[in-house]
Amino acid sequence: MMLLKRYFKEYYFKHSDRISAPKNIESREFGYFPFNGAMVRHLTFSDIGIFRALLVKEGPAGVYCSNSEYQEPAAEMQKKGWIRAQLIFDIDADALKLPCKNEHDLWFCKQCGRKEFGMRPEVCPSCKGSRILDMPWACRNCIQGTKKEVFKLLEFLEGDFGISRSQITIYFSGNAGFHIEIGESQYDELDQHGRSEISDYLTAQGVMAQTFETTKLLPSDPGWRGRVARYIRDLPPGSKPFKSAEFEKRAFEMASDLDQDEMDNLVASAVSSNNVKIDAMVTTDIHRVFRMPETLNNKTGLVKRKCTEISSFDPFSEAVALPEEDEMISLKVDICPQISLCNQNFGPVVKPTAVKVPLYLAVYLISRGVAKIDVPATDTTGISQQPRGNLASAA
Amino acid sequence: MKSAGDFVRQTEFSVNDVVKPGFHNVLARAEERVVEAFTKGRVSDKTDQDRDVEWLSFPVALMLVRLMKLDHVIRVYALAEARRSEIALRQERVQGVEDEIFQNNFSIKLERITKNANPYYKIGISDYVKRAVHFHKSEWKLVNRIVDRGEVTLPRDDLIRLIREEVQELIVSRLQSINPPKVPPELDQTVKRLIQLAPPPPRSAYTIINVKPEDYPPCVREALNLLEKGQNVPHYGRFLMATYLLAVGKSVDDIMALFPKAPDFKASVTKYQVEHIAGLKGGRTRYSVPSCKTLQTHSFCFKDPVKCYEISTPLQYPSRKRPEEPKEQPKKKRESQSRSKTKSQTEERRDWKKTR
Repeated sequence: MMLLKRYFKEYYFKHSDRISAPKNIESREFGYFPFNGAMVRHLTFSDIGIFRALLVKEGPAGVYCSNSEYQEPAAEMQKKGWIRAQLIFDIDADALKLPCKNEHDLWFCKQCGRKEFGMRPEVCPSCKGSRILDMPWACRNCIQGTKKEVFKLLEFLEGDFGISRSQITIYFSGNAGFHIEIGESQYDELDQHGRSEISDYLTAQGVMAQTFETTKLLPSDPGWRGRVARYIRDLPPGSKPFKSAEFEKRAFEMASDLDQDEMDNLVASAVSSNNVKIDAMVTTDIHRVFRMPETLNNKTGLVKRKCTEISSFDPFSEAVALPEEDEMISLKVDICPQISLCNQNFGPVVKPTAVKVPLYLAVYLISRGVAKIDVPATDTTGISQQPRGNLASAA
Repeated sequence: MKSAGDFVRQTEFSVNDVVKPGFHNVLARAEERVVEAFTKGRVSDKTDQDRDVEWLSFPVALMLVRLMKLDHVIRVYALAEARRSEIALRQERVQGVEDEIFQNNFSIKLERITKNANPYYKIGISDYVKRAVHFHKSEWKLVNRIVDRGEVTLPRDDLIRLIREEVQELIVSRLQSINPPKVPPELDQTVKRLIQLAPPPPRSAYTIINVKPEDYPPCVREALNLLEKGQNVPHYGRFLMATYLLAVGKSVDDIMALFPKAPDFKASVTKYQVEHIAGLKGGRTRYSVPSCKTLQTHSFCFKDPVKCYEISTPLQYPSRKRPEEPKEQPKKKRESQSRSKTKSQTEERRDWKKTR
């Protein structure tokens, strides 16, 4: 914990100027999570400089600001006087349930401390305890998967919701996905119920098959009609439940021949390949504090960082907080899938191993809950590339 | 409504005039409006019989409702008046009346498109969603609408249905903002008569009801099963379980006893959270059971097609209206399904085709 706090403090000491004031700062609620203790919320600042100074002094584990604006942001929730909230979205790799989860996800038994790769068992094979925590992990493939979801979301936001690209900011969340924040928009005044409708539109929750039951369905239709039409058009010849290969005939079959189950299954497939896997909690909750850009995520030690070019953005190098630090740290790693940070490969580690790694990698492993400080270090075999001096040229 | 308001102002009509002989008809019609709201759920339109009485009786009826000092009656009356407006508008064939109503009374921007003589309206998504969230039928969900570049395209009848909601909200806010005026004592008898006719308050979202565990709704049972197995229950599942069990009369300690197997259980944190939901800690607000719609948004609905029929909150489970054996029916073809669609859906589809 001491190492993490030192690293976080050092980051804020060096880079707190990267943290910008949100719009209408005086109407926002701020909060932070100290390394020891409970969440501190309901703070207000009229000057971002004072907030930065607090971060340098405290070096907190998490730093947050409301996406909502309030009349009295420091008051307790019921008395804050909600004014409006920016529309926000969170896309997390864990929700995508990609096949690679089986390769890198871990579980942890709180009773006996056993950690293993794979999906969480109902009871621990060692102690038969049932208090087992999932430890999801995110690999490059997971990040690619979340990027695909971001692209889908952008298409919805611009095409369906009429939000211009210049109003959309994408951030790597600092852990396993992306945060998407919308600038001023017609949606700012929607309450949680209105935002549920936005969320349901994106996930297609509550969609009715009847909506698409028309011979006039066209691939060029706007919104979900067009998406479902294009899905049907692009199904290869011979695909069930259609007899025809041409789109027009398939649309006719949908409108007249298919039974309820066939129609429901078809729409469900069209929906699942087109909907966006957002975290509905984040979009619909208008009383949350949201991780601030350019602050550190305590689940990884990585930065929540703005992505100017999302397709090429590599969080495992571009979101490392202090890549320049060359201090080496001795660690005992329990278990770890293969990872790569700042082009340095590490792992996989399948049994407890003592290693010596650069500070940022040590912070990552400790934050992920798979390593502890080990004194003295006995081995550096976990690292496949060379220590700090050669990292820049490492593959 | 705006022109009726202007008319009332021009006549310089005041509360004390109500009991004067010349206004007897106005008071009688006002009382009748409230009675119609309570007994029929809709106020009739008698503008054709006597426009002046019809317009003057509206503010008097509002005053009578306010004098009853029963909060739940406000919504009942507002809805009945809104239904009156809806019917009047459906019969109205003057083009552009909606534009005037929306823009003058509610400041909503509309764009009218007419194709093949079928009127369509484009309204901003947020303007649509703010109103449509009050409707329970799936056809009103944004995902089942024509959405393009920040706007929703609606057929005329659906737009009018949205107005009804708006009129109701406007009347509710008008009623809530009125301080019960000092009125002539002659009105006391009228108000007493109306109080006797008033419908009972709706079942509260926190109502304590007697339910056996086997009769808990499937979502609550799912949350309990997951906890029993020591598996992680998502946030909304926990929130649902706590609010529901509090509603059926369980204590904070009863609920706490269910959590120890949860993988992330911390007694102090769980106790604080349950007490917070019960309104004993923090903001002292007791949280209501989340609606079925909210649970669906958060993927925590495990709907029983029969027993969850037409319920909007887990507290209504099991529904009294159960369709007969819906799963056993033979597979339906499109035509028979079309018949089961609501009128507005079918009309929307037909009209939409015509606009191509």
